[in-house]
Amino acid sequence: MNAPVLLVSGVRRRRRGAAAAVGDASLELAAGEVAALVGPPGSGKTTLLAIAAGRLAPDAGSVTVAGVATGTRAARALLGYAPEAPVFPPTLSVRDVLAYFARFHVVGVARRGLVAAALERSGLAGVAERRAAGLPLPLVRRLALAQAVLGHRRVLLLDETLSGVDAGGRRAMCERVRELAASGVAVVLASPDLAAVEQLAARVLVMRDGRVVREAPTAALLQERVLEILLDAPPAAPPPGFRLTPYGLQTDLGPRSAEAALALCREHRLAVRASRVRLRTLEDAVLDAQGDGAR
Amino acid sequence: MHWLRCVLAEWQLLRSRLVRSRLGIWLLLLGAGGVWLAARGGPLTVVAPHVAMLGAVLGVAFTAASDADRAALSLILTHPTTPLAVAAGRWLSALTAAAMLVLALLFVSGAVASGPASLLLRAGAAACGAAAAAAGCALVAGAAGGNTLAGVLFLYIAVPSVVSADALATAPAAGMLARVGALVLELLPGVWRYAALERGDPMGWVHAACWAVGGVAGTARLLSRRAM
Repeated sequence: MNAPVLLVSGVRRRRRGAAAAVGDASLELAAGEVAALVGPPGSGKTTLLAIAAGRLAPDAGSVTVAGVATGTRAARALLGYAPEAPVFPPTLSVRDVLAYFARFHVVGVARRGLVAAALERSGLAGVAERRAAGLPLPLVRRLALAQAVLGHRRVLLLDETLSGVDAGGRRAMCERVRELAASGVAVVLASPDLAAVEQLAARVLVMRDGRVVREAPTAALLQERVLEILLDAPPAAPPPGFRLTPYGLQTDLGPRSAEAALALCREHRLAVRASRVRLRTLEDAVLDAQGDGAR
Repeated sequence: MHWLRCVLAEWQLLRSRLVRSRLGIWLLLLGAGGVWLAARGGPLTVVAPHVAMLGAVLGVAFTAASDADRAALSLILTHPTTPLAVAAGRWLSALTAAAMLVLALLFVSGAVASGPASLLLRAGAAACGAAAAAAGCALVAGAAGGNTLAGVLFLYIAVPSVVSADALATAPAAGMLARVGALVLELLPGVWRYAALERGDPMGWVHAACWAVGGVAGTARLLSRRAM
């Protein structure tokens, strides 16, 4: 792996106000990598992103962006952040909002070009003169993404940016994120939309109660095989390594064969009516990592 | 240079606020009120600072202290600007709004009453000093308590700040309340104090400078703390 462009080390923060707690979270992100933070509401995704963006101070731990401590002006020039509920300066049009933010990044003629390109690439050119404050949610999300990528950002933190967006808009935003990643921008995406996560993220970090409880490449999670067994009668307790389901049992096969797992069931005198092996979905992986309570 | 660009970015928001919010209308009404007072014999060296201070508070209310403006800071401060640049830019916006108002007031008053140019200049300078102080104070109030506190400051400047702290403290029936009132009048920017700016009152200028600089620095501090 290349030198991490975003390094989050042992970050902790107690619950304060509306911000959920984060406990000992670490994350390394290389240039061009897309990672997704998933987890139930209140699991600490937004707090972790706000800490990484320098908007919230951690109680312990550190965050650096390309070797620069987050929250500093130099780090803010390198890191773009699209918050969950962005509020833009009132009375400004979409073009004005981008022009206002662009002033912090570039000067002179380059600024006009940057704004025009941002409007075009984010699909906002048609609403450039509309007031940002009155935009519908899908366009607010696009504007949030457009302002986050202004300048020469090397890291992008997207908090629920793909939520509440129509299918066409989501596809366009996913394409934009892919394009940015291809150009070397590292992206952390917090989203409950696992379909989008599956499309975009090379790595998934599952959060629960402020902690990263599982971290794995998306491809590896999706290659895992699951054996589902339909039983005549549910057992009092599942055999070791199996989970009870409403219809029988389920187990992650791992390197085992399905026959070996079924043999274990027969050893426990369980009457197997039917069985099937399927590939795991991202939803399975996330729910498993979140624990039984999530199912 | 980058810091100045960030300040100017904030300052340039004023144009959209003048055109697309009620700030422009309020300033026009305030200016009309000032012209009316001056035409009725109100001394320009008092009316101009008074109107300028009220204009500065309105400028802050419409460019920095609204709920939306305060909420937007959370996003603004993820860009490479600084709380000090934001505060300085917004102070400059409010000062510009007040200065435009005073310029119009002096122009109209000068045309109507054809007073000496030196009087207009002194009144203009005093008004700018008073507006700078009021903008600094309103910025802190707006950052701490939004438009509610800015509104309280507007009312304070509009009426009680005309009363001299010395007169209140030495009043025959001065009780504890009067002494507290006198202390408030001493500390906060007030018409009674800044009316003397046109005579070059050093204490008045120092007071105004303290509020202008302290207001911007205090607001920057509040903005950076809000982020944490």
